[in-house]
Amino acid sequence: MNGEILSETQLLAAAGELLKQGGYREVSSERLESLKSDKARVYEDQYAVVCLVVFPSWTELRSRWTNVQADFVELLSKYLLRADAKTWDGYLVLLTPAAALEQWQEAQEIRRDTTRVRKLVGTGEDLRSLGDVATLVSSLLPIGTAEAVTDKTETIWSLVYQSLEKKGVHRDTIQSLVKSYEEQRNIMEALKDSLNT
Amino acid sequence: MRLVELQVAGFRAFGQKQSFDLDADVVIINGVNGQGKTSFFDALLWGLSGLVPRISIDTDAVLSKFSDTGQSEVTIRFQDSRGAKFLVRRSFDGQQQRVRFESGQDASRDSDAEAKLQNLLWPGAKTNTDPKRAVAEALTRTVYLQQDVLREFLTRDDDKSRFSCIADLIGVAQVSDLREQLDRARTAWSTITNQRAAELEQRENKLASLRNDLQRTEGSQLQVVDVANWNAWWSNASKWISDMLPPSPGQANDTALLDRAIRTLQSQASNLLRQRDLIYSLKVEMDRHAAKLTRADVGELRTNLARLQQQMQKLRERVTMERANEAALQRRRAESAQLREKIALFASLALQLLADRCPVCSQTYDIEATKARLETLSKTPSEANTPDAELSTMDLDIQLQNAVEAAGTAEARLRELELGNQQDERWLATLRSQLAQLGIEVGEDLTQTLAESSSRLQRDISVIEQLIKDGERLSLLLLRLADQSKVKELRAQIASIEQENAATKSDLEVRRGTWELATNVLEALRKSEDDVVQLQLEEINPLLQRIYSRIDPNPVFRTVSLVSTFLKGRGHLNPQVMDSATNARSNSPEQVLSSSQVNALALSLFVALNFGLPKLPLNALLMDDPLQSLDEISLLGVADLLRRAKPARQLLISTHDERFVGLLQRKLRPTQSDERVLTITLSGWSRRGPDVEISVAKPDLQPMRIAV
Repeated sequence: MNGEILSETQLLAAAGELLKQGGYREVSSERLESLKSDKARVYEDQYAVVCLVVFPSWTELRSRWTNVQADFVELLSKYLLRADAKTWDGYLVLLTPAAALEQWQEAQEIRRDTTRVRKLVGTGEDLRSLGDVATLVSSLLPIGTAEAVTDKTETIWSLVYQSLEKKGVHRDTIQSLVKSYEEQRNIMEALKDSLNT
Repeated sequence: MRLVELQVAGFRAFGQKQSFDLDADVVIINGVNGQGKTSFFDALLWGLSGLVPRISIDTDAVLSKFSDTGQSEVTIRFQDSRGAKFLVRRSFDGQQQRVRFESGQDASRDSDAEAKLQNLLWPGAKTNTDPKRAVAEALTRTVYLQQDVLREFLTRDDDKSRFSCIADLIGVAQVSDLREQLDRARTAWSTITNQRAAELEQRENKLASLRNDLQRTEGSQLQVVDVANWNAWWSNASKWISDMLPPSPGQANDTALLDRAIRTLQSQASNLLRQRDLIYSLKVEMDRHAAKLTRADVGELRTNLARLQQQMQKLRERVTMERANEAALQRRRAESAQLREKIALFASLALQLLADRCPVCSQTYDIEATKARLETLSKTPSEANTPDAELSTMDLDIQLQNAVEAAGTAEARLRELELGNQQDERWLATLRSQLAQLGIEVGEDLTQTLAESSSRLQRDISVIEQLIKDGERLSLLLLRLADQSKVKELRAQIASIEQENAATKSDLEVRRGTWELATNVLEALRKSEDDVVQLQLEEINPLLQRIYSRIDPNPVFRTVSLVSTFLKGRGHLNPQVMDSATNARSNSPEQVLSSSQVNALALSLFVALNFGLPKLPLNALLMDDPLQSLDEISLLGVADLLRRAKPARQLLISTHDERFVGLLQRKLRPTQSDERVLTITLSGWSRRGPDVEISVAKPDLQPMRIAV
């Protein structure tokens, strides 16, 4: 990204893509009924149903989010029983590329409103990159796919090797040193041997 | 690694034995405060590490006051992702902790078991000075959430401790340990290198000294000892050093033996000189005797004495006779005198009467001659012959007296000679004795004997003196021979030291190269520690941010990170919260966040470390009442977070809040047939422990309802 504010389309595509990568399936638009909108998508996984809506402005978000929530709850009630645990796992993701710095308290109120479904609100100042979008929707995604980017097969020594190599220490020298250290042999001798080789 | 079962007995709140099935994806432990929830987690921590850091170590603190057996025992079964099963059983009798570890068919106990368990759970612990504590801390930082511990980490620990903690967790502790070991090894290496350099310098000095010695020794003219000369000398000297066996030139003690031989010769020469001097003195004495004694023949003296005595006798007889003759002569002289007086008178008368003719005969005569004759006769006294006669007697007396004196003298001389001869005989006897003592056979001619002896001694002395001089020359040659050996030895020493020095120089070069390499590696390691921490933080920070965002406890400070710096060889780490809209930030979260929000941050950090670290002791999240002081929205965030952690981690969560139990049961519900969610309810605690009720959640086998 070039640092510009993400467009509505980009926000919708990015968030939708992240959800699908996290195991969500997109609900057919045919089922969305009143939620049918160019900027709204509904996704479902084993635990949750997520309604993703992008508004062109903060004002529109503020004015329409309750209606969107109502439509979303209606959708849930159509497919889920009240006793179903999933009934309590609806998430309304409200996004706008527009900044709402002055209205952060209002945005916070929407976030903290836990009635009916949980709301995730993202405004322009928080959504400057795909990473920002990922952070916003991360609570809906498995930790293993969204956040745990560390390669577990990569040992700490390999990181050290990389770091030392960048500083001009030959890999063989490091390997010899580490091997000697792990085998509790004299590490200076290992360095000496590595010099000879 | 996944927990399968926990058995506790006599441990803290569990007085009697209690078993817990943990073979589930989620275990929710429910119970009001004081029912044993924390003891449940402490039992897991203690069983795995042997420590419960927040309470005392190895004391009665873990031992239940109501234990049936008087000891604590915790057994934990767990298995890895490949199905390998493990068991650890730890007990404590109030005095001693015992541990048994089973891995498949392999069982070990105590220290061996502890080491194997630690190696399985947290291999990095082996580089720690307190492996038990390292395992316990790894568990409490990443697997077993104790909020007070994490709150301390965020709000009380200093930045160096935080860095150290994170470095430990991400495995940089091994790098730090390697760096510290390398630093110490480098110092020791440097010490030895300096010692060797000093030794080299000493050897270089010694080498220079040896080269000087060699130059000096080589400078002297080297002559080889001629064996023939050597043997001839010893042969010649053997007369005076017969008790010594001649050595070979160049043998170990040749110089000493030669010195000894020369000393013997000198001693011999001194003896001979003394003998010679004695003989000289004897000779002088003898000469003195010889000069004093005429050595006249006593017999001749006696003959002479007899002759003198005979002559004296004759003289006496002659004196007697002469005296008789003198008396007769006197008489004749008186008669003659009378005659002559008569003649004179008669002549005077004749003169007076003298005429031309003899008055008697009338014959003519030479008157003048007659007159002269008469005058003479008239003038010549009659006693003209008397003095002669007296003189003759006197002369005889004198002669007699002289003869007596001569005889006396001769007799005295004879006696003197005889005495002198006796003395000479005695002296000669003494001399002979002395010469005999000197081994000189005295011949007939003592003088000759002495002269010969003296001459012989002088010859011997000369020979010995020559031998001494030759010996000294040989000694010098030996010294030169020794010098020659010394040259060889010096050359060998120099070659050896040069070789050793060359090896040492080469070794020093390598050692200095190694030291420089170690220094570079050390510097690189220091940097790499920070790099690796930074690298890991680059991965953990987004994770932390996203986990924190799931809970999203603060409306303004919504950006969090761990910020590390590396100053003066030490890492520093601070938690940082930031308002991304205004760029306001703080490294002291407690200053800008509420207590509840700090708890949320602590929980976020805990989960971030759990998911962000390369390795965990257990593939699990153990949370003892994580919801303390959380507001409703944060609580929902935590529940969602746990649900999303469930596929990757075994969850064991306790809560005292019934509402949260329902929320967790709903949020963490099983959605697959092989998924197990257990709820353990602890209630009615008594001295025996709590009553335990376990329920299994039914899975929702048709979770997808809309997107089908």
